[in-house]
Amino acid sequence: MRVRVFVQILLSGLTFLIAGLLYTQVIRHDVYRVMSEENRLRVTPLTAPRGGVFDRHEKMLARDALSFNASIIYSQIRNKDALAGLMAEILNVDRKTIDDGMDRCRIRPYSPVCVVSDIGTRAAIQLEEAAYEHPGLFVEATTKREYASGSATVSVLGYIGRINRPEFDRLKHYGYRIDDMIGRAGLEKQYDNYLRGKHGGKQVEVDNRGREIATIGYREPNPGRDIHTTLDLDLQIFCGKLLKNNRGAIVAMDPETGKILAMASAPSYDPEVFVDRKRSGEVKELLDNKQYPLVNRAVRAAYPPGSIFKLVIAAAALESGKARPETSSICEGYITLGKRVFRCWKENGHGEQLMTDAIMNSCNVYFYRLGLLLGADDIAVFARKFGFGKLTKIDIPGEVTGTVPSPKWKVETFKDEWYKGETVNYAIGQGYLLVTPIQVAEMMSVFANRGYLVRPYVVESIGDVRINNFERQPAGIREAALDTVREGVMRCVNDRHGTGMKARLSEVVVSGKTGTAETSTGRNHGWFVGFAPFDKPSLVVVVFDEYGGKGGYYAAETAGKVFREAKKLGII
Amino acid sequence: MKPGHGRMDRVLLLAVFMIVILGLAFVYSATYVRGAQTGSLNPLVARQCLWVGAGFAILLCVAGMDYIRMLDFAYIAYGINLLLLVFLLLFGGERYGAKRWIDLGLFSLQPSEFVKITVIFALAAFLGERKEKAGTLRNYVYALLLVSPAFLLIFLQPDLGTALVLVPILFSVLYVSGENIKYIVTTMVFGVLSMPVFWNILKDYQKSRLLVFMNPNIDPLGAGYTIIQSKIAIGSGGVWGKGWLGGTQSHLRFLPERHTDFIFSVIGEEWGFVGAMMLLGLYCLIIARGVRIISGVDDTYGKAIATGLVTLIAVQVLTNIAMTVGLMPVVGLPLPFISYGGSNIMATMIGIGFLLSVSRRRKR
Repeated sequence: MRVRVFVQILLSGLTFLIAGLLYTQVIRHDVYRVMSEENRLRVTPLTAPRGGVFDRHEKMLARDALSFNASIIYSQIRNKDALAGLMAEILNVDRKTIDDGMDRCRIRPYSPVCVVSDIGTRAAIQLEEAAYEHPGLFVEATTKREYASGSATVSVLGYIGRINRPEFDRLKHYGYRIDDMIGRAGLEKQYDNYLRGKHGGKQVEVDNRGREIATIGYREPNPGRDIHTTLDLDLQIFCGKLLKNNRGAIVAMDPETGKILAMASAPSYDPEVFVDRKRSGEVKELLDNKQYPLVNRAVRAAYPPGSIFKLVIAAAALESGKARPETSSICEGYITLGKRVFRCWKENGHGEQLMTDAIMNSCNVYFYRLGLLLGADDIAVFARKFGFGKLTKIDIPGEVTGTVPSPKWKVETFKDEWYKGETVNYAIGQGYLLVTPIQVAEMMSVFANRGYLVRPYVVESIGDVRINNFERQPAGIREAALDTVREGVMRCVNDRHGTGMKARLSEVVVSGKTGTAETSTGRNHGWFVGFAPFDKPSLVVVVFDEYGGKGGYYAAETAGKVFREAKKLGII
Repeated sequence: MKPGHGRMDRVLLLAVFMIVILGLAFVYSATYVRGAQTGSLNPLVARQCLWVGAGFAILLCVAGMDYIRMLDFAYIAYGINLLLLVFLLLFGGERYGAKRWIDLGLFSLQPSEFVKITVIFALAAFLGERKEKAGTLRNYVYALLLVSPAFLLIFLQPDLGTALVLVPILFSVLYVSGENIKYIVTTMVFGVLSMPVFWNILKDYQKSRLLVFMNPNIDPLGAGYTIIQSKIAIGSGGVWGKGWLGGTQSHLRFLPERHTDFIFSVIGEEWGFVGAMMLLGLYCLIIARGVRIISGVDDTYGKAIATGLVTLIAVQVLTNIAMTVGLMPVVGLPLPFISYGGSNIMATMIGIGFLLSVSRRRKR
């Protein structure tokens, strides 16, 4: 009897065991199988270096350089204190940084996590040696983005940053990894797909200490492709220096092809801020900066063009037959429209002028009258023919269209009718009209190349493959009209009284037009747009001087320096 | 049939033989190093072979003797064993935070393994001598007092698992030998109520093991690591297992103590649910034969010895497997016949020898 109770107790124990085994091995098998695989297999990512970026002379602008990270596998650490002390000493960082870094590693205790990035070759070798005595310590070789001339090229190249959560969720199916760098602006963003290589990986079997026992799978990383640009690094650096203490933009473009030789925007910034973890504090400063250094003013911001728009008015009037080159008009310093008075910038007036005189003098009155002859609708039509109000399709992301207003546009936007006075202002590039510096370069190219709207572009070839970024179409303006304006802009710089005389050079004939755009703040933007040489223009230069005052002075002078440098470099 | 001259239980002998061979196979697998030179036997496996061989020799010797005569030495053996435990506490060197081993140069002796056997003998001798007084309070209290020094000495080592395994042995022997059930239940209730006191005596690592049993994720790299890795090993084995020598958890060393206390994880991983059931089947066979011997013998000595030994094996199997699957806290109990360890193998084999000896004194 007592033996039977004894047996029953044993049997209940047996049942308990069988149930436990059944649950663990049969019901929950899949869960544990996965856990066992995760234990056993580790995928070591093999990072593919990002492609480099080069200028038109194959000078390096950006590339991925070898860099070392000090990483640890938390579960393998034996003496945490000694290891932290050693790392702090070799890497010359304070103990707290190391300790904080190690705490981060606790989240993924079985895989290597970076504690200090970009540690330098010397420290890497020292740590590699110390790793023998300190299990858990690893030196990982990775790549780090380097920009040859940092802030000088950043407006074109942009920058890269670590992929963030929403980006990752959106892009994970395209081979991005959680720690990946992704292009955030400029060419780095536009051509991210090509620059970014295909990551490889090594699937290895590891033991409990993370030692590799066997390689199970291997996929070679595919480096990203190099990008060859139209930029001229020397001219680019030169333009960057010219803008150094100002706000604004410079665009230098080949009017025949649309190749961008230089594009600078100021204030500028150092793109390496975004890849160097130690400088992450500076990122916030950049984002908070009220001068918006991250905005590439050449393409991402639109401003009133001021008098440079007079070139469009002149061409429009000639093309539509509303005026002829010899159309003369007397400037008395102002015109009246109803009760309103619209003044020329020269109080006493310019007297009698032909069209090229008016361009040379930038006479407001002459263009008020042309504007009234054309009407707001026609002005809008011609503004669009010169590329305003739409994207130039330059291969730099974030481009804005600006605004080409028209009576219809005003009704749609403000529910208000168009006033004649607005047409008058329109004619001298004031009012609702907003343009980007790159659009201005495109506009000037129509005059320089005698009739074609070219698409500006930066990238010539990707890897060995030339990509066809060249694109141009007739603007629909007759050569005769263009020639008249060309003569006007030539005189504007080269005539004794020309408003653009500050851009004049002895070594090459520069032609161009100044502009001073009034803003609601009361401070004016300065503009200059010109081309050279006169006979067969090979370079268009736009200088935009944000709140820089009268275009005739600083902007024209700056453009002159750009042309001189371009001549020196053999570009013109 | 004359006492001591019947046929010993051959089925039991065969089952023990099979399970010991199985054990060797898995000690081999647990200590197997992939890519190591073939042909050279791992020294651990070689030693275990030696122990198993010696164990079998002793088993057969013991089985051939009359256990009633041997009982004359029960108190002496128990006494020597207790002295060894005292010696350990006073002079023993610590290993893994406990004083469990006496280093004898060539091998080290683990007296607590042998005390499992000698305590059963002492108990059997005591209960057999005083079988007329069975059921009295005095008899019961004396029995408790007889066992308590072994319990205390092992508990102080500290070796919670081995100390606790003495409790079911004591109670089942007392119960089957006809002691008063009221006393047994009262002692148990008292024991449960005094748990909080016990908790405070426990060492930190023992407490953390118990806490981790409740939730292994408290400290996945520390105390919980073994449980988690063991459950992964057993669970990933599935129905059919990964094949002998094919376990990744054990061969890649994710599993600590895989050839000793956690050898069942290797079996579960490599032979799966089916293999685990086969092993359990063999244990059930041994225990069933043991139960058959208990009910077949009519002297109190034999009954007590057989009950104690069957309980010892059953409780260790149950506790060990349950802890590897995470159904029980980790207490350091070996898997009988299988786990690596000379003292364990020898003690168990001696125990089975006595069981076989008892089997020869059957009524029918």
